[in-house]
Amino acid sequence: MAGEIAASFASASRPGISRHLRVLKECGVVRAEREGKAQIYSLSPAPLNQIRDGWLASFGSMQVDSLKALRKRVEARKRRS
Amino acid sequence: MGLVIGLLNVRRSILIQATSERVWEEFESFERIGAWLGRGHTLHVFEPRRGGEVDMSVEIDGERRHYGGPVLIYEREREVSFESNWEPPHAWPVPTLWTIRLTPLYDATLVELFHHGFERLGAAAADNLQGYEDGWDVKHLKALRSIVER
Repeated sequence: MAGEIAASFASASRPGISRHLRVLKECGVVRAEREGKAQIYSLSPAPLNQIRDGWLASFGSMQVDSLKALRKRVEARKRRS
Repeated sequence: MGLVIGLLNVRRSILIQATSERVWEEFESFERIGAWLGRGHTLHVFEPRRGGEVDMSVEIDGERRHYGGPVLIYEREREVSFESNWEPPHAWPVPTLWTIRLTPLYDATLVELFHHGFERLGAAAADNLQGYEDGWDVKHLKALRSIVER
């Protein structure tokens, strides 16, 4: 719960932690489930795993390879009929 | 006016020795775009018009995962922009964005490819995006250009 989470941060306020949790929930990194009056927060690892597991690296080379392929096609035949 | 490129973006660019009119020809149909876009990934759908659909896929951990979204901008000889999100259950809460921009430069055309909108994904994205950038060695590109343009 937000209060328990805030207690682990020496200098954070409860409202500050709640705001932070709301942002993390909007980003899909954290899930919240209601239990009575309390919200129980848990981590959703999928979004972070996708970033961590290197898919971004495959995008980087794909993008450069795509641009190189475009240039090759265009410069090989400067005029199309 | 084109799409605004946000703070957290990846930019790749290339200079092509041809007019933007000529370069744009390679954007005008699915067949032509498929011949160059998505090397290493697979382009399944690209409808070259505003509101058209883009669907690509890549293999991650032995699983084929699709991503894409609607075309937001399709401006002749200037820009193509589309939303990019993973298909459920891997979807982000908000999509990222791709923008490909053509700018005439002397007798050539500068083609820039931006993958952007990552700032919408929160603090973790900022950290990991730096890893994405650091992983690419620009010397690679320069070496290749010197071979191709010899």
